[in-house]
Amino acid sequence: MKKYITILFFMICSASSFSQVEFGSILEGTLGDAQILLKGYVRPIAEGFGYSVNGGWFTTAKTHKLFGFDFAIVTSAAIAPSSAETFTFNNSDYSPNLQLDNSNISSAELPTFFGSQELEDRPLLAFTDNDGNSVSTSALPGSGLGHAIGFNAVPSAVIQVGVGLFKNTDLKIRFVPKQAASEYEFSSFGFGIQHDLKQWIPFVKRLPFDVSALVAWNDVKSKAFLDAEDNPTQALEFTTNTFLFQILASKKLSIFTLYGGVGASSYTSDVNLLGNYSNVSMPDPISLNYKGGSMRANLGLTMKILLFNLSADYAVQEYDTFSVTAGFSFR
Amino acid sequence: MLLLPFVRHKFISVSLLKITNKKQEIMTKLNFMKSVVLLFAVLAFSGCEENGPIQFIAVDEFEITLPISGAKNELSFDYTSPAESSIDISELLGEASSFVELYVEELTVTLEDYSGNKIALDLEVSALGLPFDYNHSLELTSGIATSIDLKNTLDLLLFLSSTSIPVTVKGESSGILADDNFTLKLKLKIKGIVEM
Repeated sequence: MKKYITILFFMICSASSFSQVEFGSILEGTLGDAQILLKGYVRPIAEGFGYSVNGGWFTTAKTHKLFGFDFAIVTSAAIAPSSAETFTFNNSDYSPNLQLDNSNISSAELPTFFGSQELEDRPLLAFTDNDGNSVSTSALPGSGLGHAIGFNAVPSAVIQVGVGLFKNTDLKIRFVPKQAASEYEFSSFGFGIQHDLKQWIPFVKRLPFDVSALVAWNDVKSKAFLDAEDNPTQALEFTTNTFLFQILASKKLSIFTLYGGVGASSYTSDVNLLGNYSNVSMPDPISLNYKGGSMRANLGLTMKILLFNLSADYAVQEYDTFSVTAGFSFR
Repeated sequence: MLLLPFVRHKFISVSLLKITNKKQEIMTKLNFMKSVVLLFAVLAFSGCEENGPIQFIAVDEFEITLPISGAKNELSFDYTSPAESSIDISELLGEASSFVELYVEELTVTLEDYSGNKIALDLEVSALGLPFDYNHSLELTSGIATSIDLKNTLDLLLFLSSTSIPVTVKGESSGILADDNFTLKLKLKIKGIVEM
C-alpha cells in the first residue's frame, strides 16, 4: 500500500518540483481537468460498488411465515468487465494545461484503477503552466489487482435481517449504525420488500415452486478524514445508493434450494473531496458523480441444514456479481 | 465500508514528502493535489503492493548557464560546470528508488551577452563526460536559441553516479573571439524511466 501511495504521489510531486514549471498555475487552471481525469480513473470502483452492494438480497423466492425471520452475512464481489480497464482521454475535454504529450494524437486510452501498470499502456500526459513550460509524466497505473488475483473485483459486505409480515410479505433490513472514529465514519441502511406473487395467481399457486417479487434500496455512507487533527473538515466521502427490482423463483429440493431471478439493478455513487485546501479557492473541490444500471439475472443455490443457511449465487449484469450468504433462518 | 481498511494508511503519504526547502515552498501549493492523490490511495487495495515494481516515464527540460570568461582574442574555450551549478536530476527521480533508463533527447544552445553578433565555431558539448553526437560545426547568433540536431540520444545511465550531471563545452572558433565574457545557455530535454 505504501508503495502504491508513493507511486501515486510521483505523478503529482515530480511534476510539481521540476525546475521550469509553476505547478500552482497548473493547479488553478486544471481543477476541472482533475475532476474529469479522476472521474474516468475511479469510475469502475464507483460502478462496481453499486453493483456489488445489490448482491445477496435473497436466497429463496419463498417468503417467511408470519414473524419468521432470518439473519445473514452477505459478501459480494462485482467483477469489472474488460471495458472498465481503460477510459478515453480526449484532449478536447481538457484545458491546455493538461494534454496528451504526443501532439500527433488527440485522444488515447488511459488505465483506470483496474487498468494496466505497463508503461506502454500509459501514455504521457503533459502538464503545462501559464508560461508555456511543461513537464510530462506517464499516466497513473492501474492497481495491479487483476494481475495479482486474476480478475478485477469490487467487494462489499453487509449484515441483513428479514422478518415475515402479513400476506406472505417479508421486510428485509440492512443496517449498520454510524461508526465514527477520529479517522473515519461509516454507516449503512437499506430495506427491501419481498412479496409472494404466486398466491395471487389462480392455478399457479398450486404448483410446486415459489415465485415472488423483490424491491430493495440501500444507502452506504463512508468518510475518511485526511488530516483529522489539523484540518478536520478535509475528508474523502464515498456515498452509494442502490436500487434493485427482481422477479424471483425458487425450488426446494431436500436440503437444497435452487433460486434465480430477473430484473434490474441501478445505482448512484458520489465521491467527494470535502474541505478547504490551500491554493484552491473553492471548498469541497472535487465531486464525482456516477449513475447507472443494467438488467440483471441471477442463479444461486442454498443449502439449509437445520436453521443454518449457506448460499452462493452469480448475477449476470454490467458488472457480474458473485455473492455468498451465510446465516440462519426460522419459519 | 470499502474505505475502512485503507484509512489507517493516510499518514504514510506525509512522510513521503522529503524535500528541500525550495521544494517545500512549491509543495505547499500542492495540498489539494495531495488530497486528490490520497483519494486514489484510499481506494487502493492493500494487496497491490505485492506486485512488481511500477515504472514511470518523466520528461523535463533542464537549463544550465555556462559562463565563458577570459576568451577575448582567443580561438578556443573549454568550460565544465562545477558540481554546485551542474544539472540536478534528483527531481526527475522524485520518490522513485532508481532510474531504469536516462537519456537526453534534445539539446538547445543559446549564445548570450556576446558583444559581437554571432560566432561560427566547432562546439563540442558533453554531459557526464559523454559527448553528444551531432555536427559540431555551428553558427550561434546572440540571443537566438539553436536547436541541435542530435544523431542519437545520449544515454547517461551507465555513467551516472549521482544525481548531478556536469556539462562541458569545448569551442574552437575560426576567428578570434570578440568578447572576454559571454555565456552559453544550454537546455537539455531529459527523459527518465524510474522504478518504484
